[in-house]
Amino acid sequence: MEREDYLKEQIETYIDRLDLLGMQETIDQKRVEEAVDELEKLATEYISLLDERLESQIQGIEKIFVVTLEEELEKRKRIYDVVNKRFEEIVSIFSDIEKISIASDLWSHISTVIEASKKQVHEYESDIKLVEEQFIKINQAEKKEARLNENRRQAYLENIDLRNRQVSFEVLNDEILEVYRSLLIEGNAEQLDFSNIQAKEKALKKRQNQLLENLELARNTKDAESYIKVYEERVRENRLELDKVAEQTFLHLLRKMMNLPIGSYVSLEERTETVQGLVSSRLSQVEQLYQEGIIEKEKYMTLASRIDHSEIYRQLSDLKELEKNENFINLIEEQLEHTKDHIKGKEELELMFAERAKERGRVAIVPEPIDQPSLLDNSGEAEILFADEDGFDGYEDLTSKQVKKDKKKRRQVIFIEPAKKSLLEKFGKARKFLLSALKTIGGIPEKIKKLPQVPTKYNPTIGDQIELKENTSIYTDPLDIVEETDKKDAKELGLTGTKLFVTRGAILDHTGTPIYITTDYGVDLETVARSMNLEIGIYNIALGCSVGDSEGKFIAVADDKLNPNIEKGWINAADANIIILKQLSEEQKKGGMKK
Amino acid sequence: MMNIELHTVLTLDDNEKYIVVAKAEHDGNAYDYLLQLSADGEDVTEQVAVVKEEKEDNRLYIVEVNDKNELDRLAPLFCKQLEELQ
Repeated sequence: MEREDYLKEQIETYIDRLDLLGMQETIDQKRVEEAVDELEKLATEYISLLDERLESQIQGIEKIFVVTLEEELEKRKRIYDVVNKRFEEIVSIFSDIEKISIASDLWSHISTVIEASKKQVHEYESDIKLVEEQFIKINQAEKKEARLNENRRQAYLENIDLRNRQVSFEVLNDEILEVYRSLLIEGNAEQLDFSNIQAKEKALKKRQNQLLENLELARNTKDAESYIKVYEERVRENRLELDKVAEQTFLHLLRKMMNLPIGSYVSLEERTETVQGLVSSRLSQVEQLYQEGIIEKEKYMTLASRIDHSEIYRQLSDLKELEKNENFINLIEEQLEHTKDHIKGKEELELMFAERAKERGRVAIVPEPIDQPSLLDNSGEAEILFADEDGFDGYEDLTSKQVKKDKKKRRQVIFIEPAKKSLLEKFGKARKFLLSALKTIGGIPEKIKKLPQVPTKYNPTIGDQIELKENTSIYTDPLDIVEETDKKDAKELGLTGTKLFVTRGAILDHTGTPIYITTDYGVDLETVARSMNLEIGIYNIALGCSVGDSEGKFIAVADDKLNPNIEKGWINAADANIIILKQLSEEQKKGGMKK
Repeated sequence: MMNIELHTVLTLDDNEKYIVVAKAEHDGNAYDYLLQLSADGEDVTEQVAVVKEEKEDNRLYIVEVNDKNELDRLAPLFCKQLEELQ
């Protein structure tokens, strides 16, 4: 910073000098040239320093691994802020050169730099817009999803109703047979001989024709009236006989239909249609006789009321409706699968930003995921449900968990859908638990191990007794914590066992430089960082780690460098592999212990 | 007719949701190992169940298996699938 301040001061001095030289009655060209040369050198160095600082700041922010799009947006805004700040710094220091006519060549050079910086600001602004566009698209997609889900729900509920009122084709067939059975019994249908019926029908039809012929002849006789009466009565009687035969024919055909094997709704429908034709034709015959006054109205009414196929048609219609709804649900599900296809996810955006960085002549950085919640996240929104594969947090004591074994009866599955990716990930992490639970319910003779409890929050303070898991990252230089380089081996440094202590705490800025160091008991470094108005995600907390004295007791340290006789290395407070064995009591914390 | 596939989410008539984490066939019957989901279907819970599939009248049902001997036979089949998942 000192060099930067010095250069800034020098630049301002030379700008003032050029301004003054321009105001002289006689322009001293040599002094002007010297001042311009000097100013150009200073400007070049100053801009170069700003560039270096900017690149370091951008890289520091880019390295932050984020989980959500909101965090990605926040990240892009931070990058934009540092780029814009750099632009404003350049404008503020160099803009006065424009007014100095004798420095027009220099201004031409400087204005190019300003324009380039302005362009850079717009480029980073477009990064923000790219992320914001995704939010708009997400919002639109969610509205569409809500609409689709509502349609799916409606179809779903309709199908539940339809299924609830459905009866099997066997049950329905039995009900229909029951209606016809009484009709067939009444008509003695089982005893009917169809060949006799046909012969009888033939004879009756022949007699009917003869009677009608005689009736016509009778009309021309002298005593026509009495003859007509006699023949009309005979014709009527014969028609009644013919109707009996027609009824027997109907009953015979109906019996045949009713004896057909029914194996599905399709065959039930086919038979019903045939029977419907029979009934309809029989009804026409009866109706005609009724209109001619040959039979009583009741017979016609009874037959009509007995034959009702509405239920089967309703069932068939319900089946079609069910199928239609299921197709509709499938269609919706297909659409739901793709509503967010056009939205760029966090990983896709990261690759795009890396590509953009290359286009801008920078080194592309794609942050690597870590086993911790996002550094930007302090609200718990980016919740990690399962701490890790080995320590399935939340299922620490399987033996005490009641595996669900309620004696529920048969339950209907009303909907099946593919599991979302997020759900599959959660289930994948629960695999170990599922295996253990299976061993419990399935009685596999293997003792259920108590799974280790993984702390959900790592916030060790100075004085805490800790243990480091084998894969803890240990460093001898705090700078390495930020860059995650030059990791040391715990065994090599002697940081093994369960008698280790946090001796010192340091807050590191994004470059890894310690900006706060303390050796006070119980200091909560997160609180300190917040009190320093440090933005979450751009700092790290490093903890100096000691092995204690020969009796395994905590040794206090005082200076601001690691004491190699006591302390062995730095660890990142966010490292999930630190296990706090014994925390300081509240009393110890309150008392403090300034050394 | 719906079919229960591996890694699908089932919604039951009482609106409970389960993810199918493993499937097995035994004596011509289909069995599923289920993990219950939260009410909104977004998270897994710690409730599990082994069920037998039953189909009737174009409808699909599940019946929880509680018989110790049956569970003993099914558990290794589910275990194998889950271990292969790694």
